[in-house]
Amino acid sequence: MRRDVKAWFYLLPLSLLTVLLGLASGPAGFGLLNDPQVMAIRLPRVMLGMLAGAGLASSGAALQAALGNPLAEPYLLGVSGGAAFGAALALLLGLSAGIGGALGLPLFSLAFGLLALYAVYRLSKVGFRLPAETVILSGIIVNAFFSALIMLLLALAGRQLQEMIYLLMGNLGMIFGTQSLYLLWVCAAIIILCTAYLWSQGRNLDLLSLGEQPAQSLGLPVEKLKVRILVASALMVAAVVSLAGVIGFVGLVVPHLARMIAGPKNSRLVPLSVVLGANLLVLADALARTMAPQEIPVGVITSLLGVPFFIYLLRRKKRSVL
Amino acid sequence: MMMEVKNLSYKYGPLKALDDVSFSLPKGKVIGLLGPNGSGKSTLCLCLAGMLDRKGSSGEIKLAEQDLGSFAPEILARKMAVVFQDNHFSFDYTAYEIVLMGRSPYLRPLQPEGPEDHRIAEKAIRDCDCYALKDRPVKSLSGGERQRVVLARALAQATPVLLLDEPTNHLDLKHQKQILSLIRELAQASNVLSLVVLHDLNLAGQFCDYLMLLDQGRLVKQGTPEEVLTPGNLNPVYQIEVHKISHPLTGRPQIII
Repeated sequence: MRRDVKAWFYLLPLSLLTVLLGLASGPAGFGLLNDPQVMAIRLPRVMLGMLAGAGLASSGAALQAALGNPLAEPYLLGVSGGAAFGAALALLLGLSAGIGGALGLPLFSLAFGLLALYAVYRLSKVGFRLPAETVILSGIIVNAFFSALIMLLLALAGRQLQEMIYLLMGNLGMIFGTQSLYLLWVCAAIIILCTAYLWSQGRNLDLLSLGEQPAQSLGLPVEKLKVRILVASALMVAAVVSLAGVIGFVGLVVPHLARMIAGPKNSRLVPLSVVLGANLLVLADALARTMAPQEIPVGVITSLLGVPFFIYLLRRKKRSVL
Repeated sequence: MMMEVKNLSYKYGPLKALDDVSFSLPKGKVIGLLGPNGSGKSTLCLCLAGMLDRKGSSGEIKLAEQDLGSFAPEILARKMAVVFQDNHFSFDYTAYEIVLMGRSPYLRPLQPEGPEDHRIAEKAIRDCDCYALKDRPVKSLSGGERQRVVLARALAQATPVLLLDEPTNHLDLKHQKQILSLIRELAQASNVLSLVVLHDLNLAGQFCDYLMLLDQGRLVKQGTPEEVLTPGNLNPVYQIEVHKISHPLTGRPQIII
C-alpha cells in the first residue's frame, strides 16, 4: 500500500483522539467533557486550533512549492508579520467589534500580509529564480520592517494594548477577546475554500516547484498561477492571524513532516499537511494550557519546537551541496 | 515550414543580444545552433520558447504557421518541449515522477495520469537510458543523469518540436552519442524538428542536418555542415585558427585546433 494511504489509516483515529484531548484539557481541570459551560469555551478553541493549524500548514506547503523553496513559510517570509500589523492597525482603529470586525480585521490582515509577500517576492527574485538564501534574507528584512511598525502601534495603543500583545504572541484563546464568533465562520470558509483550491492545483504546484522556465515549458501560465496561489496562501494566513495572532513555524514543520510520509507530490502533500497541521496545533495548544500554572501562548510552543527543526533543515541543506 | 523567424532582434536594456536574425526550419530535421560564449544562443532559445519579455524583442516568430505569442501556454507545451541548461530541483521527486510531469500539458487539474501517459513516460525514460534510475530521488542523481531525466521529460511531452539548450552538457561520450542518435531517430521516425544548441563542433558536424552559426547576436552563416564548418567561417568567429578534416567513417566535416 502507498505510504500516504497507510498514513491516513492512522491519522483519522488519531485526529479523533486529538480533538478529545483538546476538549479535555484546560485550566479548569482535565476531563469535564459533560460540563456545558466548560465545553462552550473549549469547543470553539479546539475548532480554531484545527482551522489555524490546517491553514498555516497548507499555506506553508503551497508557498514552498510555488517559490520552489523548502524553507519558505508564512512566518519566516514576513507574511504573518505583515498580517499582524494589519490586524493591530484594525484594532487600534476600533474595527474589531461585531460584524464589522468579522470583515475589517481579516481584510486589514490580508492587505498587509499580501504586501509583505509581494515585497519578499520582488526583493528575492534573481533572474528566473528565487534562491533559498535571498528569500530568507528578504523575509528577515520585511519582518524587521513590520516589527518596527508594530512597535510603533504598540507605543500608540491605549486600552487595546493587551489585545495587541496577545495578537503578536499567537494565542488560540484570543477568540473571546474579540468576542466575535462571526469571524470564526468567515475564517473557516476562507481556509476551507483556499485549501480546496490548493489541493486542486496539486500537479501545478509540482511543476511550479521546478522553477519558472520549466513550469512554463510544461504549459503553465506561470505568472497568473503564482499570483493565485500566493493570494490563496496569504488569505489563509491573514484569516489565521486575525483570529489567533502570529503562530510561527507550523507552516515550515508540518509540510516537511508530511513530505517524509508522502513524498513531495503536492496532490498528496496538501491534504496530509492539513490534517497533520490541525492535529499538531491542537496538541500544542493543549500543552500550552496545561503545562504551566499560567496559560502559555501557543505561538511560544510552536516556535520552541520549530526552531530546532529549522536548524536541522538548514544543516541538511548545507550537507547536500548548496 | 515548422518554425519561421523573421528579423528577430532582442535587447536587454541597451544591450543588443540578437540582431536581425531570420531563418526557417522544416519538419523532421536536426538543426545545430553554434557560436562562441555570449553570441546569443541562449537568448535565441528563450525567444523561441516564448520566455522573454516581449518588450525587448522585435520581429516575428511563427510555429506551424501561427504567431508564437498567440498560443495558450498548455497548447504551446504540446507543440514544443524545451530543455534548459540549468536544472535545479528543490524537492526529492523520483526520476519517474519528473518524467511523468511531461504529460501534464495533456491533463486537467486533478485528472490522474492514465495508462497511455505511463506508457509514453516509460518509453521516454527507457529511450534516455535512465530506466534504472526511475525510483531514485532526482537530488541524488549526478549532473549527467539529471540531464537525461530532464530530456526524458521533454520527450514525454510528445511534441513535434524540441528545443534543446546544450543537451550534451555533463554527459559522457557514450551518452552524448546516445542522446544525439535518439534525436536523429526522432527526426526520421516521427518527423520531429530539433533545434539543438551545441558547443562541440564535431558532434554538430556528425549529427545535424543543418547548422546555424551565431556571432555577437548575428546569424553569420547557415547551411549544411559542409557549408558552415569551414576555417573561413569559423576563424573570424572563434578568433583562433582551425583545420577541417573528414570523419574516417562518415566523411562528415570535423574541426580540429
